[in-house]
Amino acid sequence: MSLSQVLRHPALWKASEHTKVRAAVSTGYQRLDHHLHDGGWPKGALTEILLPHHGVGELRLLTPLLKTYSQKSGFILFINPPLIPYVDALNSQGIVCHQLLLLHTSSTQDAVWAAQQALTSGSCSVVMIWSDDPLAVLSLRKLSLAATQGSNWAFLLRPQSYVSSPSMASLRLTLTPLKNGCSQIHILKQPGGWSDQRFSLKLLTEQQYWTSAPGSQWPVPECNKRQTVTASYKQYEAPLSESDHLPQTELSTH
Amino acid sequence: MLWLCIRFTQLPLEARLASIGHTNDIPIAVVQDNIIIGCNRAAREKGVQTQQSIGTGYALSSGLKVLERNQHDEQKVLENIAQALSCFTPALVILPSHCVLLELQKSLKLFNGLSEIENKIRLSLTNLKLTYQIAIAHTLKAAEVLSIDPDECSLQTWNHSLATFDTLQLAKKIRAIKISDLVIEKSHRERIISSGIKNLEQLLKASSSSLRRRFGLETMQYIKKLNNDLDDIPDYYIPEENFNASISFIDVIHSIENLESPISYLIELLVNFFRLHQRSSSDLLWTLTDIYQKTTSFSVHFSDHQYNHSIYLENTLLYLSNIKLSAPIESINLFVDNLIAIEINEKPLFHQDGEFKSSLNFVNKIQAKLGTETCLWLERKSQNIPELTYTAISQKPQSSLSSKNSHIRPAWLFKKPQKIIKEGSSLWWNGSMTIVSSPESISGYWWKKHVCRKYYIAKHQNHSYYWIFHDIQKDEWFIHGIYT
Repeated sequence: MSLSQVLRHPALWKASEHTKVRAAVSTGYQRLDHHLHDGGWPKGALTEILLPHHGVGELRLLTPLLKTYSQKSGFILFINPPLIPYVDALNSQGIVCHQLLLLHTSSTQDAVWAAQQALTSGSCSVVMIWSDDPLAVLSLRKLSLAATQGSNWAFLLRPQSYVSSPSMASLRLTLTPLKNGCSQIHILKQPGGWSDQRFSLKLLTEQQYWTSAPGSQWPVPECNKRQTVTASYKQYEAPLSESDHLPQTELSTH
Repeated sequence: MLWLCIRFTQLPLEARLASIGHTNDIPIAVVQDNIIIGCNRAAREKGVQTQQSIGTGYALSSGLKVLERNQHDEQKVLENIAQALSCFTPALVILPSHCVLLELQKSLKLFNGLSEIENKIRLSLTNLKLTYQIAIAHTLKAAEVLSIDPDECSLQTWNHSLATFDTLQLAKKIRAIKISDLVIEKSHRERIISSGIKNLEQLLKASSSSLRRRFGLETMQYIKKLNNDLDDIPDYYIPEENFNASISFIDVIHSIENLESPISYLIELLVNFFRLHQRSSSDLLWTLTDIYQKTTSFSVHFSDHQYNHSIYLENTLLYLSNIKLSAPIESINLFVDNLIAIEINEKPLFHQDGEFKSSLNFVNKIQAKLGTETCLWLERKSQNIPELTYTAISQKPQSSLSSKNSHIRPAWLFKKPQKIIKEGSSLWWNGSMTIVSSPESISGYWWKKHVCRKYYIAKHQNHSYYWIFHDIQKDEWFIHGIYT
């Protein structure tokens, strides 16, 4: 094989060429897109997300993608999800649940086989696999090849303890919740781009309304209408004579 | 028209006896509304008769076994008979008077005349051990009434050489029909009898208008249909369509791999059958019979109704891979019922289907190898208790209910709420938790097991947010979901 032939191989990354040739779809988070070389989740590739535990914003991270593809033809397959997806929550995020399939397998081998079938069928847009068990390099290779063949999105969600294990996934990142409510993303590996990038994202935006502080400590705006009205009512509750009776219109305008 | 009517005179009794598999030695009676409507020979020998009350039956025979009538079984027997007789004609009618009628005019040539068909019918009914009477007539209603005659005299009205009715003899038989045998409303029948009319000959002397005025429109139309003066369009029995094919091996098969070829052949037959009848089915039932006549059955399920030889073969082999043969296989059978008409989707020639297909073949394959219960869809139910809001189903739901809840819900839900340890004011579940929201009450299901909960959002020490609730009735705390 000549050198020119080797250089033509699609899997070969050339530092001199910065053009984004790989198909990708936006993650829905501008900051994450900016850090990803392809500008989004790479299509036809296996992405590995490593988590310290379940419930760190992993679904919210993928919600924009799931929302887009649940509204199109093709299915979304969750293989061995740790818990049950709550239909109401998914609906409120715009994810169409009748395109969503759940698969529970008794072994990792079956999970990999089923993922392969789904990815290569041409009927699945997104396949998400949760696995706490160690996966052989061969299994990861199978998943990666199946995603390439099916030209769809495959996500493998595993415990963070596998961070140092070798992986055939094209894109690898960790997701860690921070004390301030944000989630830290650490890109371990990505095709054609820089690795070891760390940045934070606010995934669960609703949490700004959630606080354990008592009501008395809540910040109160200066011109709070409600407070003024309450004061007026207090005046109204006081014993009144006919002469100092407040007009109704005045009360309602406060 | 040539209608042949088979009347099963003892059907309530014989259908019940067939279902319980009883012998004739014990006196048995079948009752309806405490009245005996059928009894076996042993009971008859003791003096038990139809139309007697149960009390009378017991008085006559203390050892009488009384069985309640089962009309469902009777209907099933009639349907099975009609199904078996559908090889003689497609025009079959089942009547509530326990009659199965066959329109045989167009089948005469094929079966070499009426006597041949009659013999074949009697032969096919032999094994059923049912008591029946046969009659023929030119109309359905006449055949039904003439079948009451136990001597089957109507069969003599057929001219075998000319393959037609002897009209004179047939007319004579019809004229002799008793009014009490007519299948009309009881009140109308009694009114006709009370007016001194005893048989059809006397009734036919009256004009149509007179019949209508005196005995009602229905009676007049019935008489006209019986006498072939008015077209009678019955509700024909439509035999249940199914596919049933078997292969018996001269040399037995020892391994699963060697079954691939016969399975492929049977699937080929099935696909041709589906193509010809424009039908499909979601289940294929395979039965393997070994040399000891032990059968192994498995059903191959398909989520969609598109027939395809390679998909059928692939999924069947996946199912088969989970089966271990205990003995060499002697025969293989494929049975498919519950056939449904194929939906024809008319798509434009250059229609773009989108990036991904909507085919469920991969689901069929996964279900074939890993089991139907492994691959599921979630269907929203109209409930407000979180764990009752969904149901997992193995078929794709047609449409999903949308929730009208404005509250923020967690993306993950525990199948069963996990108990939280509460010590003083602190909550503990794999670490400490702090409540960060106001309560939301969810209650309901009062008609079965009243649920009354106050839900909160709690921040865990691992920085995740959990959905927890306080069960007011049990005064206990549980974790129910994770915001992610």
